[in-house]
Amino acid sequence: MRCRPGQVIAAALALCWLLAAAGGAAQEASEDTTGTAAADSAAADGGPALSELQRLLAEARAAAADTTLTGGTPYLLRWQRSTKASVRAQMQKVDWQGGLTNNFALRDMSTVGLSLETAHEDYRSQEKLVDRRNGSLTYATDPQRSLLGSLSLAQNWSRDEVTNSTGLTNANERDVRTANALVQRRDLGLLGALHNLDVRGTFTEQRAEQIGMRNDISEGQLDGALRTKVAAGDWLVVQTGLYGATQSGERSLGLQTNPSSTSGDTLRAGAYFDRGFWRGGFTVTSSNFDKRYLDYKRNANGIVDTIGAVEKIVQELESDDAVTLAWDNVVRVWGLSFGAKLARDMSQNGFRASGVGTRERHQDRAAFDLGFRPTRLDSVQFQYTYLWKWDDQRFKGATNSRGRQISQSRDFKFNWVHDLFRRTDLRLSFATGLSQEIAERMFNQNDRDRLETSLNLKTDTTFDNGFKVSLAFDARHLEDISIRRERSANNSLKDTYEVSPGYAWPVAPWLDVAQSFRVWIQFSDYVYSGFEGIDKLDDYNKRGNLNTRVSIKVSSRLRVTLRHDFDVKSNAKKSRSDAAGRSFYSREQTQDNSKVDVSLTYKPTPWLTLDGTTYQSRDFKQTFGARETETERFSGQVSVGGQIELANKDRSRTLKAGVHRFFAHGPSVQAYNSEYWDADIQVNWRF
Amino acid sequence: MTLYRRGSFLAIMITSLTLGLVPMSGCLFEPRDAEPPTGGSITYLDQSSPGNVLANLETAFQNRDAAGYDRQIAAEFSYEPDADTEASYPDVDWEAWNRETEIAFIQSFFNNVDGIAADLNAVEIQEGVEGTTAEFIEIYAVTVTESGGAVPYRARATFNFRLDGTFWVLTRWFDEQGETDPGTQTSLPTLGQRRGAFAASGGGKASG
Repeated sequence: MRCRPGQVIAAALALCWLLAAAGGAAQEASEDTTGTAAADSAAADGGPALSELQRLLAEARAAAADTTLTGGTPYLLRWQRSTKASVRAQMQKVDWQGGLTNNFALRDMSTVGLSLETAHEDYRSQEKLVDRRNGSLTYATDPQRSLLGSLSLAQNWSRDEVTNSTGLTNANERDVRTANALVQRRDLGLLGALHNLDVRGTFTEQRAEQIGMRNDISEGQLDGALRTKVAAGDWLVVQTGLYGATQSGERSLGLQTNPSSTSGDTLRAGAYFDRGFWRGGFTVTSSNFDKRYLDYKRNANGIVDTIGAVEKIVQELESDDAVTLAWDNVVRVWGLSFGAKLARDMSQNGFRASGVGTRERHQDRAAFDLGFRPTRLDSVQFQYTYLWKWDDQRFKGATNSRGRQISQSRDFKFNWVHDLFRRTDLRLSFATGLSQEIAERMFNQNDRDRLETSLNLKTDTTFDNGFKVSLAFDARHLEDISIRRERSANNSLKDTYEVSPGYAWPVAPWLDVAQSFRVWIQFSDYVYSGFEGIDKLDDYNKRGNLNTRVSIKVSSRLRVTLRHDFDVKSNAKKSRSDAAGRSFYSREQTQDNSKVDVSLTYKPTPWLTLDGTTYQSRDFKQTFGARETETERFSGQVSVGGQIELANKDRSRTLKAGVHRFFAHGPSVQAYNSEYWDADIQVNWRF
Repeated sequence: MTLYRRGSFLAIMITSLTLGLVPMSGCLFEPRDAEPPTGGSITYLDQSSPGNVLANLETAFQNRDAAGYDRQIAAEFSYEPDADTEASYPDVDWEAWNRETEIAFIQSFFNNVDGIAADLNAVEIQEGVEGTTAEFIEIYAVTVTESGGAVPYRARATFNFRLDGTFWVLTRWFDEQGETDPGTQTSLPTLGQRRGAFAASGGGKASG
């Protein structure tokens, strides 16, 4: 018996639905996932990429609109095939990849995609092999219609084999087969409102083995979403969203097989206004789910804990309830912009079998910002954010909760941009933030505060001839305070200052010179330095960098770049203070590092580039104190190679290949990276 | 809208910064007073080399000092689990594991165990420093005491560091694979298992 393609597709869709319905259906996937367009869904399952589909459909529409065709529009409007293959040999691994994709556009603008991919990875620095094989078949209706449908079948297989340093091999293998059907109705006008409806059914069959244990899944799921939008007036829109999901099947873990199920729903409602200078909205979201599945026995920290347990594998019931309230408002008037955001999140999560027990969370957030231009040369912005959150936990079997772990933070930011002169800006930013960790009932000793304040000043100038100059100054103050006496010995205040000028000078069309200089110093003061039993000494760290780059364009094909990086640093500890309060430091260590780098790029033809790079560096370190030491280390690397890139006019056929040979020496160079090849070749053919 | 003449605004801004913002930071942004120390101080090394940062992480583990750990990790910190951990916790969004998640995890980890013995370079495989970045490959051994028992972890890991101003900080912790206990020859997990358990039991969420 021969069937028409439409009947085959309808039969496959119906079969998938039946499987999903028979299984029971769905998991706690977020509501947004169902809103994805049919084409996106297909791409996510390993089908054709959205851009490929769009191009294919554009070509198909052009073909359908072609009035010069005789004999009517053919059933198959377009058939696009593409193959790709690549081999890459790099320092860490060698990988091979290959793929074949077939996309068809039919007369009714629906698409069919068939994709096959294979990959193999062989790691050089560790004994690790990874193999992947993916295949998918997708069908999607015309995306421009209000009723959309898609169907996809996919298989993803992977094997990951790792041998550790003692020769023991662990293998993880996973074979997942999925069938997915999605129906979407867009912009359905009913009872004065606009509705979007999504319904999806999925069937998943997984066969997996992990560390010698079976981990199989056979589940069906059904989920749906209904979004409704009502324009309650010229300036007010009310939106609601209802999402429901259910899933059922069975899972095997080790030698045990048990039924699994999930059910959950989400309700979202919001009112959004846009009236003159006033814009914003209010949203409330409520969601919950219950999941039943097999799991290992876990302790209070959620760690698998089967030692001495009678039941090593348990039937878990996980439940979650969450509510979010959010308010967002912006007022724009008289050149001022004032924004405010307030949000509250509350949730409760519990496990019946796991020692984690139940967990309760609460979070409040507030953010305000004000921006305006006081003069035509200035713009300023103020921002303030506040966060207060806590979580509490009652371990399984405990009579009381452990107490709230509270996190609180306040941040203030100020930004000012001033137009100093023509082509010269002055930017100033000031920020201060306090974050606090508070353990209620002192169930731990990690109560702490961290205050960070920074002031940054920067100016940039660009002259007519392209000469650019910049100057930046940065000052930071950091207070790291542990509150409890068991931890407070390390409390410190740190002050950091940085000055960094630089320029970039295009001396001639063939010559560019750039230099940047940075000097940085940080002073650390320990709050309890000198306290009995505390051996902390105040200290400082200094660092300076000078980076120089000269780029010479010898000809239109040859470019040579020279770089020199000089880096010097030193650190010292406070030795004493005099009566006038002056501090004296004794050096502990100085270090300077110098690196010269030369690179050359030669492009003899538009498709061929040859390059070579070499660097040499010297690292000199001196330590002071009871025993003075000096160390001097040299390292370097040379690489030579080239790359080709060939493509035909419409880039439907491309070939990219590159090969480089590396030689390296130095104290950190190992056998595998002292001398190696880095090569890759990629072929793409679309026809 | 021009409210002030050019130039006068510069003076106004500097004055308001001095008179307004800086003192404001002293009231709203005032840390609490600490209790005078009774215990000895935890000695951290100067973060002048990646090796010192690794030693400091070890010190923070041993003293369960979240503040000390916090100072060693970079703003762009990322964590990558080994294949076993990924397979055990497939629902955890490992790519989104950032500094904030790591701090929340460490805080929870240090607060909820009775003791930690750590040796982050039990076996040194490779330690390379290139200018302002460094990569250390080590086998670490960590034993956690909790619920009256000891839970051992041993793994080969790659640690990446970056020079931040005058100090080195940890930018990436990649658990490559679990290693065998040299004494009992049993295969041990990575610390990724703890991170996975923390995330799977609801830790590190927006309100947690």
